[in-house]
Amino acid sequence: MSETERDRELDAAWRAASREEPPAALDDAVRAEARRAVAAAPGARPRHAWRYPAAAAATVALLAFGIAQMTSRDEVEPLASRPAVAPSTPSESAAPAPANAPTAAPKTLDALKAKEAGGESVDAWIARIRDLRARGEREAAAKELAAFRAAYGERAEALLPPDLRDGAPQN
Amino acid sequence: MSASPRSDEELMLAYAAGDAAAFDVLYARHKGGVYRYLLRHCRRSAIADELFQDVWSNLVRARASYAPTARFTTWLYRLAHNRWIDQLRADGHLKLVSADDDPGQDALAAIPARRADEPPSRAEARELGERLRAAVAALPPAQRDAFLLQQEGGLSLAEIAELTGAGTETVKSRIRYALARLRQALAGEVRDLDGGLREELG
Repeated sequence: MSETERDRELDAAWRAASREEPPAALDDAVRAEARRAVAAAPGARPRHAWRYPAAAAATVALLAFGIAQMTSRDEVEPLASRPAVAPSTPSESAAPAPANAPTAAPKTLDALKAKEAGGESVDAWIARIRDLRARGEREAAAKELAAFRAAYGERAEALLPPDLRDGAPQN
Repeated sequence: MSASPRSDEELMLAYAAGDAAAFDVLYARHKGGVYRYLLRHCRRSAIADELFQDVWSNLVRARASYAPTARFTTWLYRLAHNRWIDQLRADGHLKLVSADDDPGQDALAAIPARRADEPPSRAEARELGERLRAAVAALPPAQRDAFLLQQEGGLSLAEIAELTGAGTETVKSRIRYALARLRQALAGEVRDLDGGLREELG
């Protein structure tokens, strides 16, 4: 039998009778395995290899931002709970503190204000105390002032305006 | 002027170098033949599916060692053939079968009855396909293997001989016996039903 003596009719009949294909799910599984193998090979450079370092850089940046936020909150977090008030303005809450600021360095009032996040600002609190005094609600004003001092501890006097500091005349 | 399609060997080398798209082309070319080769041997699609996936997994794992010293098709069907042999061995069915072993089963006995609700030409074509598949299934394994490697893999006698470790004359005999049995089983219906087949294919 030579190669050219094949039974052409039988060949055609067989081609018609034998036409099954693997299921689509099997196709997908085989192709996926083939792709995984070359992607995982040492020295392989997937088409979207840049995505991995970019994702890592984004993660590091997010972590740095989060740490900076947590650090600045700790530095100005009141020692006692403060009255619940509306959130500060977006510009205040969104302004991140410099991540490399030394924690023991003296802070300006502006810097402390800027680090306020999620609570009543120093200025608003002071304005409220003055408003209570102006309306003659001296007891309430004194309570708020005491709460302010408790919240800000030894920094309170530096934050308060002269008319609200210890020893200032109360009108 | 379009570029000529890449050969199987070029695609396999490209895949071994990390080109996953080359694998997709290779797979699309050969998945059907390999699948049917295993399905005819196993007769159960669940087992054929498992063996089929193993064959391609073996190819993926062996990609780095691939060298185009022979046709890619020969290498691929060697993987398929070896996997089938492993399955026979695992099932305890492996035995050496000579070219003229009697299958011990009448192929015609396994032919399902014709469905009466089909148009004659289509029904006849279906019946012919069933007869053929049953006849192939009833062949002795070595004859069936040689026939399928030729039909589904498109391998030459020399390639089949190399792949199976048999002599070329032995392979030639196996295929000759296989064709004789298939013609006998079909009892001349290939010629009579050719028109119906063409209709089904069209």
